[in-house]
Amino acid sequence: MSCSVEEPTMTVAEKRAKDRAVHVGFCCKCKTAKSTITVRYAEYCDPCFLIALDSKFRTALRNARPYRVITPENVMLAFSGGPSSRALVHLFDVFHSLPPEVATNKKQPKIYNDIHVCHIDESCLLEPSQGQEPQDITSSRSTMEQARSIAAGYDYSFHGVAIEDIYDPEWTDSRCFEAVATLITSLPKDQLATSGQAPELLARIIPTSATSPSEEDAPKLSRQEKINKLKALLGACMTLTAKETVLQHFRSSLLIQLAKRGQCTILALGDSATRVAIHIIELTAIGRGYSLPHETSLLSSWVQDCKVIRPLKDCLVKELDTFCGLNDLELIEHHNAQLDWTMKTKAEVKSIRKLTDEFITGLDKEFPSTVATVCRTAAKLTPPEATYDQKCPLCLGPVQAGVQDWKRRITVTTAPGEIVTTTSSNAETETKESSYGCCSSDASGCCSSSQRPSCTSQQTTTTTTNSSTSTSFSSLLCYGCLTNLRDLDLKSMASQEDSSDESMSLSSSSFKLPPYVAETIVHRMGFASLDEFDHRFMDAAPATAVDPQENLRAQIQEFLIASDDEEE
Amino acid sequence: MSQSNTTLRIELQFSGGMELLFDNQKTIHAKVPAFFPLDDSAEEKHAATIRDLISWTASNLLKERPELFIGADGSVRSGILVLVNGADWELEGELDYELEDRDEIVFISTLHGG
Repeated sequence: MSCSVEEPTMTVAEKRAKDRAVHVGFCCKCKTAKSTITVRYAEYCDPCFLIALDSKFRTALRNARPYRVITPENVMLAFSGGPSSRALVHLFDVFHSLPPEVATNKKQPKIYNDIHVCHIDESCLLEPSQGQEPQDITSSRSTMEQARSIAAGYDYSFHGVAIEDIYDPEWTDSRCFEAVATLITSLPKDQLATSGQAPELLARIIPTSATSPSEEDAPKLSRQEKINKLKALLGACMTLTAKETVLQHFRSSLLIQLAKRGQCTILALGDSATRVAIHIIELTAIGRGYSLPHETSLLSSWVQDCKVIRPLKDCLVKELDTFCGLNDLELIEHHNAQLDWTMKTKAEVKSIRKLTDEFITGLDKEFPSTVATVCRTAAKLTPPEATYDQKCPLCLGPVQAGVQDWKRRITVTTAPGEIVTTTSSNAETETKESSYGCCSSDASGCCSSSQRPSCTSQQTTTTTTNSSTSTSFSSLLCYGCLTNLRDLDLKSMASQEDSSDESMSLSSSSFKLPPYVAETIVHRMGFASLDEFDHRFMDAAPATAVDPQENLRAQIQEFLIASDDEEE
Repeated sequence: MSQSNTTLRIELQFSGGMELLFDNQKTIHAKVPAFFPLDDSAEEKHAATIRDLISWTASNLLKERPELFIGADGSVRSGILVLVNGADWELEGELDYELEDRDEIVFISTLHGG
């Protein structure tokens, strides 16, 4: 909407406000009670406000999912403990509990079968408050019990998980994917500083059973180990934006797992209109425009077997706060780590989310239709046609074809003088990458080598054994994640050069990506399970080791012939 | 000007993360001067308004990070809801609302995630 259009809209809204103002100071609905709440230009009294919010919620629910359903589905409510999700739980309860006379008279099926509530405990990421030992936090500030008791108050079944459980092999699609992924760079360490070229990231699947010697069947990893791993990864993120984004991916991965475990085919999130508007701008800024429709729409069917709905998408955060206040709903105070990071980091350290937050709320103060305008505009976006199998290993979102090529073309990372040296490495990565198949079969196919991924990079396969075979990670990522991972501290990663010394590469990489990432990588490469993946590499490794030269020749054969033809 | 020494009993409540700025206190019973400016030499004094309350709170009660509480023009930061005796302050004249004894002022931060 351009500025010239915006202004008449404002006056219309103001006019409407004026019309309503016949009963100045009184509720615009009942016109008898004194108004206590203003929502944009409308004034309400408490009872009328509650009715209005409830009907807003019902409308959104009906739009997300038609009422006339044959088989009622189970729904999982994502409950963080903040006002929005707290309101979601309460509104769902009001919606779902019929007055007894209606429930007995009509033989209508319930629209939602079972309502479950899930909670992710992030207390391990909270900074220790003054005078508190770091070890005490997990126990004393855990939000799990409080969330459980709130859910119990509604008689809903409760599912809880701690954020560090993202490192548990159990929290994957196969529920026992015992491997993590480490990242290594394609450039040696000393070149990282000098070469402006963004290094190619390679992933290495490492079975967790090999690294943890404990033999009991009980949890392979202790809680503290998982927390350390998570902290190591977040610590390797050099910007607050990267940190928040990675955490958000873990959160959504866990939520989907929780929903699937609870036999729920619908996952309801408590995103308010304000939050969605902030999210829209933020996602655009961090390069996640491709998956934006899925991450902000009222209904997203991206995740297989689990629809994601946002029934509070039309409610402003102000309305939800007021709603919680009026109903005296119990909130969990320290419910997310981000808030804590904001409080504890210095004022000048700001993430993109924080900046957009300020931008939107600041604008909304002067122009109360900002949030609605942003949301309405983004609601027109249609989700991309990508297949769920080809999801990004990190964010589980859709991946656009030719991401790396595109990024290379639009990014200037080297000073003009260095171009000679980088073009050769460019060509090198390009060959490697295109034979991997960037993300879908039609990716920039200049090299139609039909060889299996492992064989193309002979350097990798010859120097490693089955447990530490590296695969290209960058080429599997979506644009947003590829961009985000540039904020990782590369110096803490092992480089491909170092990897010849295996023991060193295993220990030198200071952080690991959780099992669900490793699982997706293996799936994206076309293997059904970790075993299958392992076997293939045991077979493949000796074969390529026989004659790397021959292998290289096969890889570039097409180009050789092409150049011969030209000469003749 | 004997009145200038009197104070108003105001109940301040903080939630939605605001309490973190006030040493985790959710409720503060404050005795707020009834007339501003506080400087005795000032010629004209006016009854305390929310504008005065905000700056008074910031200098007397706030423990950390003033930029998360106070915004431009001496108001609270955008994204903070203010309720005066349970009603939205926009309906009460916002910054110019004159405080009365035993008023209940609620500050809710909407800058939370969830």
